Amino acid sequence: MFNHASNILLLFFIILLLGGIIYFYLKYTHLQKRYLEKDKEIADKIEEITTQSTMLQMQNRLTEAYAMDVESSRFELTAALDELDKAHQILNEFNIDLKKEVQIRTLDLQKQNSKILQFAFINAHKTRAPLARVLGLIKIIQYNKSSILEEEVLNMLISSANELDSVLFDAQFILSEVESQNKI
Amino acid sequence: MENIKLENLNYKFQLHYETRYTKIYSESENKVILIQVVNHFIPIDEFKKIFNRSTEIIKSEKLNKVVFDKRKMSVFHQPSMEWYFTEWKAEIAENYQVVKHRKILPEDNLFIQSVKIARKKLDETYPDAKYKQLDIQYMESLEEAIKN
Repeated sequence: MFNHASNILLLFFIILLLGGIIYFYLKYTHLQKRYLEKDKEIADKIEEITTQSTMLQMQNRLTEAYAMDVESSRFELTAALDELDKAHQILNEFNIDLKKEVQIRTLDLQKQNSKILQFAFINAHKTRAPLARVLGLIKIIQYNKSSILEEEVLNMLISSANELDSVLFDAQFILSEVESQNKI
Repeated sequence: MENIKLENLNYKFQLHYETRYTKIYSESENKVILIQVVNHFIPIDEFKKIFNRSTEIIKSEKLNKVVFDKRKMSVFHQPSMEWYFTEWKAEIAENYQVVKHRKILPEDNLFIQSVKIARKKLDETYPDAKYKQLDIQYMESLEEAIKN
């Protein structure tokens, strides 16, 4: 009787023990699963934070680089503006010189023009008179056969020719002046 | 065009283009275009200009391999990388059959990490992008990049 009761008690105890073991095993595996999930969650979070931190640090580098590039471009721009300013100054000086040169050249041209006018006047008037006389005297020689007259006409012809030569010499002088001014 | 020696290597490089950010060389024996960065960063407009110029050089010199030397760089710019991967690489692969890309990164963890993050993001954003079919490798030195 006692033996039977103790067997039942033992069985009950074993069942209770097994139940406890199963309960704790299930509890343990459940906790382990949760821990693993948490671990993964934490690892993912760490990875995300590391990624964000990396990106942020690189973004900082980028911002600094852009700032440096802007500064360097500004420096280059200032240098280029300085160069431009210098070139502008040179150009201004050149323009002033050019104006002076144009004025000098204009004066020269005016002088040359007046000489050319003088030359044209000599051609038109001064050469015309002795030449007309020479032509007239040649006609007289052609139509008059008197030797006395011929000598007188010849003298007049020589005088007119000399006069023409002198006029042409003046004209040549004016031309040479114009030519020498052109060479300058 | 003058032959240039780089890093005591037995290759003859010809300089085609030079800006304050990069120098572009070609090496005819191995049909390589070398884009060597000489500044710590490149603004995106300049970046595009440099690579578009590289396309012209690839076309005229009939080159078939790109070496991108970024050792001097310290600033990584995601939009530039995105354009370079999804547009430029696709264009030269399609038009000039250039599929070999060799890159040399700086010894800078932050830069390397940024490249990795950007590449991961790029792979996620463009799952069917053409660059995934290309032969892209990271090398340690210029010699290694030209040889392999």
